[in-house]
Amino acid sequence: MEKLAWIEILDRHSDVCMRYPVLEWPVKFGRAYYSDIVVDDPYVAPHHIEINPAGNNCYRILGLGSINGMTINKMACSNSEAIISANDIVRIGHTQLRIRPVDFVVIAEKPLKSVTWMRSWPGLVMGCLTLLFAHFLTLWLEYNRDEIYKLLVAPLLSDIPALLVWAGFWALIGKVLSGRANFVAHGVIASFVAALLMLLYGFVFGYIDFSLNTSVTTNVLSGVIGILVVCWLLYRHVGLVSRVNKVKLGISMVVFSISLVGIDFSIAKWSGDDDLSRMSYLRTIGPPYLLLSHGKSLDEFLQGAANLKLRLDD
Amino acid sequence: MKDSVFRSTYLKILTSMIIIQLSSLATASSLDNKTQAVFSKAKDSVLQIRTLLKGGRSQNSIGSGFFVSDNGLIITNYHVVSSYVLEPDIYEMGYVTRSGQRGSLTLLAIDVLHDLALLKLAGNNFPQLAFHDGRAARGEKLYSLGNPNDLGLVIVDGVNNGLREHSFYDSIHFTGAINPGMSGGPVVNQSGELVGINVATMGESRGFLVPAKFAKELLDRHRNDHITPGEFQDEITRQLLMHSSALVKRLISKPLPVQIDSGYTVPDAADPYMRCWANELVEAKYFFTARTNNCEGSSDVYVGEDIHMGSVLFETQLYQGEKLDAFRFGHLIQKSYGRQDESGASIQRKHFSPYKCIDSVIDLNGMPGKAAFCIRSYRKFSGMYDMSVRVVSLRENKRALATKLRMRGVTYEDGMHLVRHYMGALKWKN
Repeated sequence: MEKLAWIEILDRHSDVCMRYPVLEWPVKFGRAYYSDIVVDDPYVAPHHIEINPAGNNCYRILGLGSINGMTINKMACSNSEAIISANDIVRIGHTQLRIRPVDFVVIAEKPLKSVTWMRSWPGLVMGCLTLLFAHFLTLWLEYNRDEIYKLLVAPLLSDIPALLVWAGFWALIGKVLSGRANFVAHGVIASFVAALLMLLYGFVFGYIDFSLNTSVTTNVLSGVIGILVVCWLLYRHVGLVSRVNKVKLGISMVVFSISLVGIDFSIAKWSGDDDLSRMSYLRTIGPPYLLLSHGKSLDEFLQGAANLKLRLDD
Repeated sequence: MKDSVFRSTYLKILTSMIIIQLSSLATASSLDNKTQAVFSKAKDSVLQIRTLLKGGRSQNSIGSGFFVSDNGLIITNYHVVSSYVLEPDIYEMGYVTRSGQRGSLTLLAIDVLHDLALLKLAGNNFPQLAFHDGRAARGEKLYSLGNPNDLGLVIVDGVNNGLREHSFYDSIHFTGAINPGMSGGPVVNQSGELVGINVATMGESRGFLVPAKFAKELLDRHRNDHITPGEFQDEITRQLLMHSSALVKRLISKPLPVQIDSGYTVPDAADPYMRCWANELVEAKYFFTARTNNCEGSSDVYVGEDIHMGSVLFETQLYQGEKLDAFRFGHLIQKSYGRQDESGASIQRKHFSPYKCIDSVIDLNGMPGKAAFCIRSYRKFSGMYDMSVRVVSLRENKRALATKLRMRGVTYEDGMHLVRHYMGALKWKN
């Protein structure tokens, strides 16, 4: 017999879990065994709906007087009858279904992905080397060459094992949730992000402030950028271990990071000005600027102090 | 502060300490008839003074005190009763006599700067100690009485070593073993006349006494006064204002002496009461040398357990890093200087507002530098502030000066005078 259409039962992620060929119209859908398609959903009536073709690749759904009725694309359907097309999703009880005509045009074939360096062992080794290089740069600021090589042993012994444990942790979660460990991919992500953070905090922020003679980077931007980088790291990890919609995950990470930034600012405000190391005054002392610029006079500076005292007394 | 003010909240006594104390006692009482005579003459004039939680019998702090008039006026140290003075709602004062009699006391006057308090016990015909007229001679034998570590009244002999050097207020250097709990006890000469009052010890028989003349002044001024608990804080503040003004006046009365180092001119000890300590750090592995010079004086006044006010500190560091490039040297200065922050433990919130700071690039006598000014106020003593000024200056990308002036418990105006004076002394010579 010729197939007229397909009825697809979908899971909550709208992925197909069952597919039934339609050989004749109408199709009765319900829990009773005399239905054409029998489902075990207790929230579905024994004889819930009847499906008929409506021409032009559309279908008429006829409600047969159930308690729970039906929804089309998550909108409650007040009538007992509805016309749907090939991409509309009908929900009855807890069951979702879709009807596709046999001539439905499917998307073109995708080429197989080749393994990128981001998911390969050389990528992981490169990430670890980048992390070591970041350590090297931060040590270079304060120590001479012999000392640096001695001091590099510590990160070699602590950071890289810690990185592997971190990647292992995510791989385990991935294995449990989606059946894929992706250990190397987790390791590559973590190693590059760790190296990036170390470079930013140990070197780049300071250098930018030093060159531009500001303190904005270290005092304000560093917190925001740090949180964004960590959120991006979590986004990649969570994206690898679960099949959560990428857009939703991205949005929740943005919300998460904005609230973290908010908390960071509130803590800074709440903890008051006690901790001078948080404050700008010596974060940068750019020598070119100090040597060339004309600073305030002592009187102007002390006027600022007087204003400060007034603020304190309020 | 190297002198430990001996205010004993908990009696932590090492066995060895007790043995030393007991043996010295035995020597004093058996071999020296003079000591016996002094002891029997003065013993009834001395009381144990304690502060207690209101309504309780357990002591919060103990010290000693003695009668200076037959109608019950008693002199002790301010720090013995400071917890009552600062928190009269929580604590009360009491006394215990040698015979174990107990009772309460009223406060007539305090002298925070010399660490004295005048108390009154109701009644008459108390055995008073007479004041010694004039100055006690250096080398004279003196006898200190008190109640060390709540062990009972003791007498300790020692020698008057004259006025203590580098001290902001006059203080007698007494070479004799005075110990916690003896605070506020009398020190008398061989005729039993009051020469001083036990106040502090540096350990190993280095004791310090408040000269009796300050007690006499307090007594004469306030014999008939009565200060109410509501007036305590204002009275302390009034005295601290006087201290702040006296301290700053002494420091700014003449140009600050300076040291010249690596082309920088930086302030040095401004007054004989200040002393400077220097060291040089040469670390091959860091590629730089750092010379430090810290000047501090013993002008701080004990106000409460966590509150010492009226002190000034000069701190200077000179860095040289010939082998470092500009960025690395800048990083080094930033790191070494950033470490010394004024961050306060959260417990200090009880006494202080949070620090507020400003910073700016400034021009000091043609020397560019970055300066930061920080200030916080005292919650209980209005008009008193802690302030600090830091200045960092870099020269030729390989020489740097980092200096700090820190003041605790001064008025804003006094502080500003000193800031101007201090910053005026910072110069670049080359």
